[in-house]
Amino acid sequence: MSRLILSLTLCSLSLTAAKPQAKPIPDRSLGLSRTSVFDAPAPPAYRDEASEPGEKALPKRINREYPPIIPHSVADSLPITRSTNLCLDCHAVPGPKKKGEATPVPASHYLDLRRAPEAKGTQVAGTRFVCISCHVPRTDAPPLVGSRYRG
Amino acid sequence: MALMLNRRTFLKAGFTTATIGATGLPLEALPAEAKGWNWERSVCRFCGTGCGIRVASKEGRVVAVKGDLQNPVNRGLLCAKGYACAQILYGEDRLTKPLLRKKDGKFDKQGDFEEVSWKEAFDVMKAQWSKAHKALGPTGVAVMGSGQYTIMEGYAAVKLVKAGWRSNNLDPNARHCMASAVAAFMQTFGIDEPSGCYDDIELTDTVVTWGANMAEMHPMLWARIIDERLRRESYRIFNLTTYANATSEGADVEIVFKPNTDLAIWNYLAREVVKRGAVDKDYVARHCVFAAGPTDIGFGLREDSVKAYAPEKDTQARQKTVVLTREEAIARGLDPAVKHEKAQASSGSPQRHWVISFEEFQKGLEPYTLDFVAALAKGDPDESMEAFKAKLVQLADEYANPARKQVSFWTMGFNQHTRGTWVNEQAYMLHLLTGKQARPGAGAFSLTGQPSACGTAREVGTFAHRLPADMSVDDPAHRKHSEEIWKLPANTLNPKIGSHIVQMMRDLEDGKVKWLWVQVTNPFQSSANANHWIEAARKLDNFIVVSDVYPTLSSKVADLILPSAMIYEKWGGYGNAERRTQLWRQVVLPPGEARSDVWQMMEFSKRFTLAEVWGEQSVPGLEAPGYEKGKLPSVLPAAEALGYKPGSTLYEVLFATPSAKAFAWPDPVAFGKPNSTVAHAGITWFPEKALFEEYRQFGLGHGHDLAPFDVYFKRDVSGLRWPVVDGKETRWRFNDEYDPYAKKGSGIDFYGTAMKKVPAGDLNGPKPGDPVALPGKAKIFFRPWQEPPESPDATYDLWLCTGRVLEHWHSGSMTRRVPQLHAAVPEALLFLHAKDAEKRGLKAGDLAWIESRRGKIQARVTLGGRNKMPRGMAYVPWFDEGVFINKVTLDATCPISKETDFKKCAVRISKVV
Repeated sequence: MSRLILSLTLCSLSLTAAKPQAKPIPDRSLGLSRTSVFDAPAPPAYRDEASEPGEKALPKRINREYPPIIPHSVADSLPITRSTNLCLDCHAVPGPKKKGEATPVPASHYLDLRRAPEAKGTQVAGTRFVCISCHVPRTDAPPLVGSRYRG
Repeated sequence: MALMLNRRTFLKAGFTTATIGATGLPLEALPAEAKGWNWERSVCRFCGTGCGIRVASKEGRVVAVKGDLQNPVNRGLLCAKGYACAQILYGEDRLTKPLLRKKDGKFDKQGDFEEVSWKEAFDVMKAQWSKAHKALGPTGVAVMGSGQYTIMEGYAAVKLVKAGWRSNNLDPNARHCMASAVAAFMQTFGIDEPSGCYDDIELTDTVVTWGANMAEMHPMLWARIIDERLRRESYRIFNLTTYANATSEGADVEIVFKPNTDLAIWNYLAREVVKRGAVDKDYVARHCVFAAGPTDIGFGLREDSVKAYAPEKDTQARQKTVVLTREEAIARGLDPAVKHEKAQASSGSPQRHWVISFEEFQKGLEPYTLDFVAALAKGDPDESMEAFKAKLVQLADEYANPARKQVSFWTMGFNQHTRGTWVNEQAYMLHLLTGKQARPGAGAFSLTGQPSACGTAREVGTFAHRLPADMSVDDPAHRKHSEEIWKLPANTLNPKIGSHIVQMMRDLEDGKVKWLWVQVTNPFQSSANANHWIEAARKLDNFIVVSDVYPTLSSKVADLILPSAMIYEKWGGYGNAERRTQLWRQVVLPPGEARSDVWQMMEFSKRFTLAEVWGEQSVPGLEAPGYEKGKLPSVLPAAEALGYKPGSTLYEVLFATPSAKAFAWPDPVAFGKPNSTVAHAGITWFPEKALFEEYRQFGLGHGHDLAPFDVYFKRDVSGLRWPVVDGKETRWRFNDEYDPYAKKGSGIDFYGTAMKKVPAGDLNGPKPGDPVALPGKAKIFFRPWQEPPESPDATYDLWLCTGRVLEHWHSGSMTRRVPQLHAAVPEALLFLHAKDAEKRGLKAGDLAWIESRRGKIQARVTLGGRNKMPRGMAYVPWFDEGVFINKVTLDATCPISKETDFKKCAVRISKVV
């Protein structure tokens, strides 16, 4: 506990250390839209990812828990309905990943975590059926602000 | 029983499997601890589902989150937003210092923002508070709170504003989210919040979604529904909506209806149930009565604003008088050939209601035949009338079938509705008629949008009319009870209901509120008809404080911005839509000088002495027994009798009380985790625990029982659904098999006590006579369909609906700073039908003007994607401050709940040239 209090104290000390006063910030330069709240700006145009599956290198995972983002176009794969899931047509293949094939749905996706978390099923769990609930597609939009997140 | 066994078996298995990566990792992955990650149990920051999360931290930073396998809400899974709960803490522009508008070294409303110390921030904030308070009294100051407040934050706000400042001007953004649900619960059951729980998803036969795009807005509940649908061929999903959406993709039957006609569809269904003899007569006779209320209740619009724009005036005129359309006359059983002009809001409070006979109820339903309703409600002009009728009949077959159970889910499509309270009540109407309420797998189930709309906004009572545990400020017994728990002199609390959040904006524009503190919300982006409010904020003499974690649109119009701690940087608790209360420990330290909201309120309270706030106060319009008209009495002498001094601060009286200080910090429940509120305040007690334990006293024995603070941190507890009695949670309220508050042997006992003494009458009004007592009963309301305040016409020829998207939370202040979520949905698009676009010379990707009577903005057109619009209707999500759609929307509200209707107004769309 004392170590914790010490670290909190050090933290607050470093904050009070003299720092040059930052320049005044006009309100229009705050936030995600660098405009006045009274403006009605023209939003930029972005393009949906248009590459074919396998065409582009897999992007770096955000962290080991974040579901991989979809690196290819999804225009022809959606919507996912109860009878049609084109994502699974390619991705529900046994691992490990083979060259030229889609990234296999991992073993975890075959578990029924609610009813029988220890028994591997033969089908992808129904709770994971709507792939795009967790795996997001992408456009060419660059980040609005930087991120200090480190995985 | 089978479910219980499964749960027990699962829990036994829970710990051995807990380290298995529940996401993309193969089973053979090393336990996470091997990488030096420290896992802590917590809750997702986002929606009302309330998914359990495990948070990994390393060297003082959150590095990842995953779904909590042990938590029955989501069993190890999260949605794309939920998995980003680690990243939301680390946007580069986190606020780390207070920022004040200044010129020449001092506060100036026209100045730019400069970094200031917390001391200077609070000095200016207090001086401005006193200026407003001196000029206008307790009603001149206001706090806008949140359904994203932690339970403790909401409770601290209630104490500070209602007990400390004697103002009821505290209202949450949750007003925009589920106030209609609350009003309907109170009127129908006499007590707030759902009877059922998420277990219903696996126990029911049919899910009906009404104005609830669960696939995007509650993805992990939707995952459970789809899972069940895929494993049970007989399971059915109906989606009732005003446009085809992601939920339609998983539904068996999609019913696209015209905006506002959901009320007519319910009445058709009820009429069918009655006509087919499908009423559960025993259930209705034992547990229900029939009821009706006034019909000409207006639309919650302003009638007399001098600030109204010229084009707004025709819509606002409908607040005073409505000429019934032909269909409205038919729906009321009137002669459609005669002109019927109806004065609005002339029959007293819209909340009033009275008991009617079954025969009167049936008479009300009579006009709602299949032919009438189908012609009124068909929402897709390209669908055939026969096909639409067949679907309505299919839905009636489903609800009227005594052998099948249904759960009806709804969210903003019902709640954000000028007849929001009514349409909520109609869902109960049908479930009560068929005896399918408060039973496992059967019930009308109001989902919430925000993570603690239930736990904080409703249960703690951060509304302008509320006190904790469903109590009201205008009830003398409720005030007395609160004053006792809070150790306040009698008559400290203000009996006059404060301004709701829409009214606060109007008050700001009218100069009736001159000091405003915004906490955990972004109201200047999220309030409808926004041009009025941003203008009022920037151009009038007032002082606006915004506490937030990132600069938002609201902070751009603020005078002072205070940097706040985020979810895993503080201790907290949320309550989700199934009454599950979940608490969490602080995991990491807030950055820079960011401070928890609890710390902010406690520190600010040190600047108020009782002499300043507890003397006589003027409250215009106050009228209550025992109070002089327009005045709150001085309670200073009584305060001295309680041992307080005129110089005692609100901090001492409300927060650092002897009983609060008895909760010592450090506390073993922390397991070595930090508490920055404690560190920054330099105290040796545990404010979050003290606040929670004091708050808990309100609910004990009143059907809102929560467990002690420490219980929620036990390893085998993943939150508990209240009432928690003798350590046991309650899955189905009002059902004597499950709910200890339901009288044994009653079967069903609707034991709520609010509004349970009402007059008797007929559809036209109450009759003289003594009120009828209704112990144990729920009310089956007849509510008519009516036209909305504004519909498309020759000038503004399209409907506009607004809402959320899966990838972004509310105004996007957190999720738009997560690179992959931003890249997935970088801006709000205008969803249009291809023919509507073509008619205006627009194609996909083009820039369009969207214009209403209230304002205009630009957006880019999309013709497909996740929402497929019928002809005549447009959809624009509101997360994007760059596509500020609330400049266009209409600030009409449900007159009962005061919740804004964001789902329909009239717009015109043209190509940007």
